[in-house]
Amino acid sequence: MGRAVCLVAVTLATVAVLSNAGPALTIPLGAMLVLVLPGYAWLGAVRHHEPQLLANGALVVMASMGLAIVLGLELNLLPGGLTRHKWVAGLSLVTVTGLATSWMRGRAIPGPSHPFSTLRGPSSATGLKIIVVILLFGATGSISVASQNAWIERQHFSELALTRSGEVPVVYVRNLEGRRITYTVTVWVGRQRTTRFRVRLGSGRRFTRPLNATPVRRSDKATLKVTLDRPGAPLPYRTVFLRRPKYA
Amino acid sequence: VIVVALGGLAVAIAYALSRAEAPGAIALYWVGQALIVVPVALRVLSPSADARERMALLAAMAAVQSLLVWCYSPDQFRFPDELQHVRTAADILGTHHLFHPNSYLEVSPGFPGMEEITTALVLLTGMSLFHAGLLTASVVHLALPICLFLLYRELTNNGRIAGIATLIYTTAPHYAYFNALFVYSAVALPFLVLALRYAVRSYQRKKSTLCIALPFVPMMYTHHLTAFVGLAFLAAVAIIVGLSPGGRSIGLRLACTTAGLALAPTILWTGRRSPSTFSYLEGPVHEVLSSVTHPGGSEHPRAIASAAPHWESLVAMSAAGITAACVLGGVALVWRQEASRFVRLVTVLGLTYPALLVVRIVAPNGPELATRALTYGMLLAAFPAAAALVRLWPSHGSGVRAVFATAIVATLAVGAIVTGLPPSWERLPGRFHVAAFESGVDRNVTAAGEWAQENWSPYQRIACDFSTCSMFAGYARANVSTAASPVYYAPSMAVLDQRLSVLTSDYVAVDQRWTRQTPATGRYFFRDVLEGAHTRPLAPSLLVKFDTNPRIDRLYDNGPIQLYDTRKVWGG
Repeated sequence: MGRAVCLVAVTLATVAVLSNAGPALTIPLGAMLVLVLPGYAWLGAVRHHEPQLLANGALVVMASMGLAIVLGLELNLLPGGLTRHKWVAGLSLVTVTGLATSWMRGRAIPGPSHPFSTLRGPSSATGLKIIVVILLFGATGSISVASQNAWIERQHFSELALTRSGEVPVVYVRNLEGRRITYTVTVWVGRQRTTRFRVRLGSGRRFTRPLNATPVRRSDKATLKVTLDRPGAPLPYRTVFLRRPKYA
Repeated sequence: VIVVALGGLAVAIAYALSRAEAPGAIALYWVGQALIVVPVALRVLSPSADARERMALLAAMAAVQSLLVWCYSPDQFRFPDELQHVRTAADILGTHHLFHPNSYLEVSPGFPGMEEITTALVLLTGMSLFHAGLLTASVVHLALPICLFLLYRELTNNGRIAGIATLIYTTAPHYAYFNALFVYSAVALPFLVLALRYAVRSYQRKKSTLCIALPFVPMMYTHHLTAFVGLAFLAAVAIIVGLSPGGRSIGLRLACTTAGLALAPTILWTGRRSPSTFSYLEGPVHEVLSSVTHPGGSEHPRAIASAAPHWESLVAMSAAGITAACVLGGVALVWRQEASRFVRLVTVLGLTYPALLVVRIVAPNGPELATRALTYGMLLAAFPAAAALVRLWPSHGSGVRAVFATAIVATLAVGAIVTGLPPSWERLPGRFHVAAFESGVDRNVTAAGEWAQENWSPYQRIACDFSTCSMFAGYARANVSTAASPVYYAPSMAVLDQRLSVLTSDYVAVDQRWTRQTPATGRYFFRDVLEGAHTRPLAPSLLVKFDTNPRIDRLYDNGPIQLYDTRKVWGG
C-alpha cells in the first residue's frame, strides 16, 4: 500500500462515513480511518520501518491510536466537541498531513516511503492456513454466541414496574418467559381492588398502561398496589406499590 | 497457529458445555489451554524458529486470548472494571465532550484515551459501544506481544531471547484475561513498552531521546498508574544509561527528556484534570509501605476461604518459585557472561520480581496488589528469566532439555491462569453467583439495568450490591453508593430510616438471592462493613424491611430483584 492507495482509502472512508454508506462500508473504512491510516501515513513520514510485517502493523495501529487520543483532546476544545463530522475531518487532516510530509521528505531522503514497502503476498500454504484459522475462529465465535443465547433464553421471568407519566402511575409489564403468556394485572388502592385486566404478551414483548387509580371510600393516602399473575406461578407472581401517592 | 486456534475452539466448547451445565467442561478447558500454550512455547523456545515465526505465534496466542475474552461474555460487557469505562464512554457519546464526572470510577474521565478511540469507532463505524470497545481492546492486546518483542530485541539484539522474554511476560497473571478487557490500563501498556523501547534505542543505536515522548504522551492521557510506572522505568533506564560506557551524555539527555516531556506533563495533567488520582493511588501504596515497615501490623478483612482446588494453590506457588529461580539465575548468568554493562544493569531490574513476591506475602491485600503489580514487574523480570531458559535449552540442547524448558513455561502459564482472572469459581461461565464479577450479571440483573436505563434520568443515586451496581452505573449512568452496606444491615425500621437519611440515596436495589448464597468475593457491597464475615447468607428479615417501611415505594420487581424508591424517607 503506497501513499496513493492511502490517499484513496482516506477519501473513500471520509465519503462512506459522512454519507452513511451502510455497515458493510462504514465498519471497515471507519475502523481503518481510526486505527490504521493516520499511523500508516505518519510512520511513512518519519521513515520508521521494521523488517517484519507484524511489527510494522503493530506500530501502525499504536501510532494511529496515539494520534487519535491527542486529536480527541483537541477536538474536545472545539464548540460541539467530539462529533462524527469533527472526527472524520480531524483524522483525514492528520492522515493527509502525514502523507504530504512523507511525500516531501521522500524527495530528500531515499528509502522505503511507507511501512509496508517490503510486503509480499503470502504463499499458497500460508494462505490456506490463514483460511483454516479464520474458519476455526468463526466456529469458536458461533458456538459462543449460540450457547450464550441459549443460556439467556433459559432464564425465564417477567418484569412488573410502576413508572409515572406526570402524576399518573403507569404500569409496565415485560414478558421474558420465552413463550406467549396471558397475564392478569390487578390494581389495588388500600385493600380495595379497583381494576383487573388481562394482557396477552408474546415473548420479549412489553406492555404499558396508565392507571386511573382513584381511591375508593378512603383517604387519598392509601397505598397503590399492582400485582401481576400468570398461570402456573404462585400468587402474587410480582408486586409493586406506591405508598401514599397523589392520585390522578 | 492452527493448533492454537483449535485450542481456542476447545475452550469455547468448554464454555458452551458449562453454560449448558454439561459434564466435562473443566477438563476440556484445560485441554484447550494446553493447546494454546504448549505449541507456542515449544516453537518460541526452540533455537530453530526465526523472529517472524516467534512474533506470529505470540500474536496468534494473543488473538485467541482476545477471542476467548469475547466468547466468555459475547453479548455485553459484564466485568465491573469494563462497565466503569462504559460509563465514561457513554458520557462522551451523550455529551460529545470529555471529562464528565463518573462517580463509578472517579479518576476515569481524567484519562480518556481508550474511551476517545472507542467513541470515535462508534461514531465513524456505527458499531455499538460493546463492539467498538471489544475491537479497541482486541487490537491493543494483539499489538502488545509484538511491541514487547521489539523492546526485548532492542535490548538484546537477539530474536530468540526477545521471543522467550515475551513468552514469559505472557505468563503474568493479568496478561491473558484482565489485560484483554476493555480497561484503560490495557490500552496504555503497549505505549509504555514502546516508550521503554525508544529509551533503550537511544543508547543502543544512539537515536534521539525525544522519541520517548511519542508513545508517552498518549499513555499519559490513557492511564495514570502506567504513566507513573513509565516515569519510574524511564528514570531507571536513564540512570543505567548514565552508568554505562559512553552513556553519560545520553543518560543526561534521557533524564532531561523524561523530566521535561514526561514527568512535568504527567504531574500537570493529573493535577489539573484528575487530582483525586493521587489519593486513589495513595491507598495501595500506603498499604504496601506500612506492611513492609510493620509486618503484621495492619488489619485487613479476612477473605472467605478460597474455593479453588488445592492443586491450583500448589501450581501457583510452584510457578512463583520457578519464576523467581529463573530471574535470580538469569541475573547471575547475565552478570557473569554479558559483555555490555548496560544489559547487565538492566537485568538487575528483574529483581523487582522477588520484591513483589515479598509484597504478596506480607501485605494485607498482597495477592491482589502483587498480581496487579506484576503487569509491570514482569516487564523487567522477563528478560533475566529468558536468559536462564536460553541457558537451559541451548542451541545444541537435547530433547530432554527442550521438554524441561517447555514444561517450565507451561507451569508458569497454568500458574498465571489460576492466580489471574477469572477466579476459579467463575472460570467457566454459566453459573450465577451473587455480588460477583461476570457471573453476577445474569439476565435478571441485566433486565433491571435496562429498565433503569430507560426510565431514570442519569445521575440518580442508588444503593446496590457489587453486581447490580455495575449495571446501574455502567448502562443507566446512575451514581452508585459505595457506603450503602449499613443500610442493608439496619436491624430495625428506625435505624433504616436514619441510615437512609444519612445516605440520601434515591433508590435501593435488592436481590433476594442474597438470602440464599454467600458472596464468593467475600462481600455483597462496595466497602461492605461485614466483608469477609459472611459465612451464611443474609437473613431474609434484613430485606423484608424495605417492603414494610411506610415511606418506601417498590417500583420494580422481576422476581429476584426489586428496586425501591427511598426518597420519601429523607425528603428527596
